[in-house]
Amino acid sequence: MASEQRTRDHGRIRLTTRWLLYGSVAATAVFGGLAARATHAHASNASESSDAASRDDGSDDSFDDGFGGAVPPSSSSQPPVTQSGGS
Amino acid sequence: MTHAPAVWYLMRSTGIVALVLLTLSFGLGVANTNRWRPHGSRLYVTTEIHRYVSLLAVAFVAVHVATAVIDPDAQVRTLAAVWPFGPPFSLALGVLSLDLLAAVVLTSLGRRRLPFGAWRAVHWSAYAAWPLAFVHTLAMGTDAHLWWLELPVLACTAAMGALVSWRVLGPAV
Repeated sequence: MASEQRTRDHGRIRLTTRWLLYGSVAATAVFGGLAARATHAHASNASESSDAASRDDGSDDSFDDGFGGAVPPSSSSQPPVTQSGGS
Repeated sequence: MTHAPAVWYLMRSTGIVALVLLTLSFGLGVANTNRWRPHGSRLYVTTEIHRYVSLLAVAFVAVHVATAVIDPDAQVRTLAAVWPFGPPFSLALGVLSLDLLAAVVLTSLGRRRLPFGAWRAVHWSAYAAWPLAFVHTLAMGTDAHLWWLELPVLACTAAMGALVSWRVLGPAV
């Protein structure tokens, strides 16, 4: 009787822990996908906004698409703009 | 765009899952203290699952921290990932939560060698680790204003409220 109880308890523990692990990994994949989608949505919106701004020659720097901050701080990979002409 | 998007996405997702697991671990800890167990099971089932979920939470926190250090855009240095007294403040809160969690886990692993009072005193700091991690998520999290982060955070907050009430109103241990 006690041995049956022990076996049943161990089975419950093993089943629960296994599903917790699977669930956690699946949740990580789902949230990672949502994070990627938010980042890409922000990036494409920012790109569209930039195009529109350049067409209008506007100077509105306060663009907010609701995904604010969903893009990491961009590293300055572009070369510095040099002032040419005027010499 | 970030240099390593996959690492950055993994950092964000493991952070959320770690908070959920921390909440679950907290719940099972309270259940264990209140001597709750699944129908037809012995109490050690709750204890074992609580232990497992805590270790799982620590594993996810470890991945979260490792990816934060690896990701060049996150700009978290190795020392800043363990030393809780540096800027920014929101990062320091997360680090402090991590350190408390590490202390709880380490003292639990060596529980038999520690006086019960010492183990319990350290274990109580888990109550501080959760709100620190919560504020860190909202203050530091890139996605703090997005529905898919707000939803689990709200659920965790509601669960924590219920669990603290259950702990306070439950049998005194």
